[in-house]
Amino acid sequence: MNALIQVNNLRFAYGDAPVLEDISLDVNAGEIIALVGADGAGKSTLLQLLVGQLKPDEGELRVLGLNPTNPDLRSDLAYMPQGFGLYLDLSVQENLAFFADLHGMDREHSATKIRDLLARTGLNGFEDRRAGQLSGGMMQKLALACALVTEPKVMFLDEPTTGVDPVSRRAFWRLLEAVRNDGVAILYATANMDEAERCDRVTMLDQGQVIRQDTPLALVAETEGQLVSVQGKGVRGYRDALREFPGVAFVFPVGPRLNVWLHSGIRLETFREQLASNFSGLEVQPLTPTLHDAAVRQLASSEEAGRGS
Amino acid sequence: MNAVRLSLIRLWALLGKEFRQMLRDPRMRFFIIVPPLVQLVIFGYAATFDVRVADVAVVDEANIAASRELIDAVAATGHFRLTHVGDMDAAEHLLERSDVRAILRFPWDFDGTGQLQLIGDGSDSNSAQLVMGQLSATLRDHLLQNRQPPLELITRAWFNQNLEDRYYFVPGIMANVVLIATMILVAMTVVREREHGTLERLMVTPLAKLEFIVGKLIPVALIGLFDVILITLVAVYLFDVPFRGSFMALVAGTMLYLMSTLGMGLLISSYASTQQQAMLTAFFFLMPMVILSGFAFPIRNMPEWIQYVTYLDPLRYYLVVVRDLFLKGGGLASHPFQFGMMGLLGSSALGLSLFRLR
Repeated sequence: MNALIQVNNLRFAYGDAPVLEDISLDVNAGEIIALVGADGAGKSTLLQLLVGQLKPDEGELRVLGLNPTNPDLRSDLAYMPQGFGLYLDLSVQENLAFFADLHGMDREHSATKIRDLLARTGLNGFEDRRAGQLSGGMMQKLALACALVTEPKVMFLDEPTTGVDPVSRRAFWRLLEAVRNDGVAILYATANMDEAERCDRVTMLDQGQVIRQDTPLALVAETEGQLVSVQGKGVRGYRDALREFPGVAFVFPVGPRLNVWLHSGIRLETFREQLASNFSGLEVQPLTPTLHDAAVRQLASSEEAGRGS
Repeated sequence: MNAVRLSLIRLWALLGKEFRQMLRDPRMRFFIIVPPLVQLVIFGYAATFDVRVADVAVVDEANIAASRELIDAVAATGHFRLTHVGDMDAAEHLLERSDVRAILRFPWDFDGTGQLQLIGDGSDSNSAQLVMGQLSATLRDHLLQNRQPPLELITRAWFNQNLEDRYYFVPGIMANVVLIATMILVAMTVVREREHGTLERLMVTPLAKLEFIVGKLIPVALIGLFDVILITLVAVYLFDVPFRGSFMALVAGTMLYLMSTLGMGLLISSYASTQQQAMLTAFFFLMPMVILSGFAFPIRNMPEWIQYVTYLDPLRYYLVVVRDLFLKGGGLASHPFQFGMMGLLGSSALGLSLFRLR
């Protein structure tokens, strides 16, 4: 089966400033693909290209087999821009009905659909509340409902959980996973690794280039070296010293500890002994890396590569 | 067929949304109704060039029957409050302190003929001209009547017999209010969508660009028409300004005029990314448009090259149409040049903005 979203060798620049270089990815029906990267990595630009608001300089884009600028496409896709794109002076019900009407949906059908979505998002009882008076989490659910009301086949979400509390974020993900199970292809831009971890595959962007692309598990597994945590009194003061320590690839603080990526081939025991002979009172524990840890390591080494070249 | 139906459904959805937003916003409700009425009342009552009562210092050095007769004639008009002073020094002092607007002096050698002196306060040239004009007209009339045989100059102002300033101002206010309200509203409603990020979202729905633009223009055009009708009713029933032309011609002229004001509003929205920018840009265009329209300053008095520039000002044409419809009468066919020019400017402005927003 063909992927619903296809990007092949995409290149895009604003004037002389390259924004995206040689991007390729695809999203199949029933998949959520995470697009992760720091601010300015090019995530939003890629989404805007895919919804037809920008035109690529080179490369091929296909959404449902069509060029993204094709207006026929718009009835089948949903786009949730940063800041949700809701009408704050309209009520919950009016926002939903407006988007349903724009898609030319039959009134009876859309009324059923809206009722169903209000129930699923927990927004029932708030139908007449203005969108501007909702909490961040509810606003985000309304934005998702506005995207879903038109029964899209493809969804583009641009950092939808920014500024939303963790409980609402979990509720949002439960909804999204149900949508995925309905066979919708979802491209999900985010800066949060814990969200990317819930996606089927992850595309890591850095300065407009794809640096890694795989399932979250594979990305973690493929990361070279061993992650350990170093703790002890005043350990954070040793950050610079540890950075220069033999066998250490990368050091980053997590709470009161320092997490340390060791180069591959460095044995935990060796590191522990060497550390003990140089610093006193430090304890070393092996850690199971998360996607976040892997990404930190990845970004650090691509930065090093950038400096080296 | 089905495509047209769907397009109308989308347009209808957008129109419903626009009206809801407009009527829900208290600032918007205020903007549609209050400023037109406030401006109308201010111009109808307060802004008048008619001289009601002006203070004038009189220096009668001659003090003969002829001079006293003239002074009485001036006093009899009721438009002047006279202050008699003994000499020019005292009169000049009053003028310097702005206690009087003008000095009327009969020199010691005045004997019913010869020279009279009239001195006005040029620091306020507008009112000086008015006061001096009215004073000299009174004096001239009186002198003409006393000639042997008497000579009477009979003047009449057509269409506005008493030269009521509000007859002149009220139609002009209408043209200005419609311009300001519609141009700013269109620019604001489009830019607000951009500012709030909803435009980005809308452009990824089946709503076509053209449907979006039409959906934005129709509500504002209706508001423009509403303001025109509101002002006409207030002008006729509250200010007793006559409306002698055809109402259909007023509606048709307004529609043509709206093409320009809406087109300019759209054009501004294609350049502005915030509502504040849109507002400032709108005012940048509004001032010259009003000044070059002939509303306050006659176009024929302008330097020739500026007169050519005024041909680009839609307000110039609408002003003539509205004023004539109120005071002279006329119908759909009475202003082919003005209607044609408004149509031309309107289609250019709309065309250009469509091209920009494409």
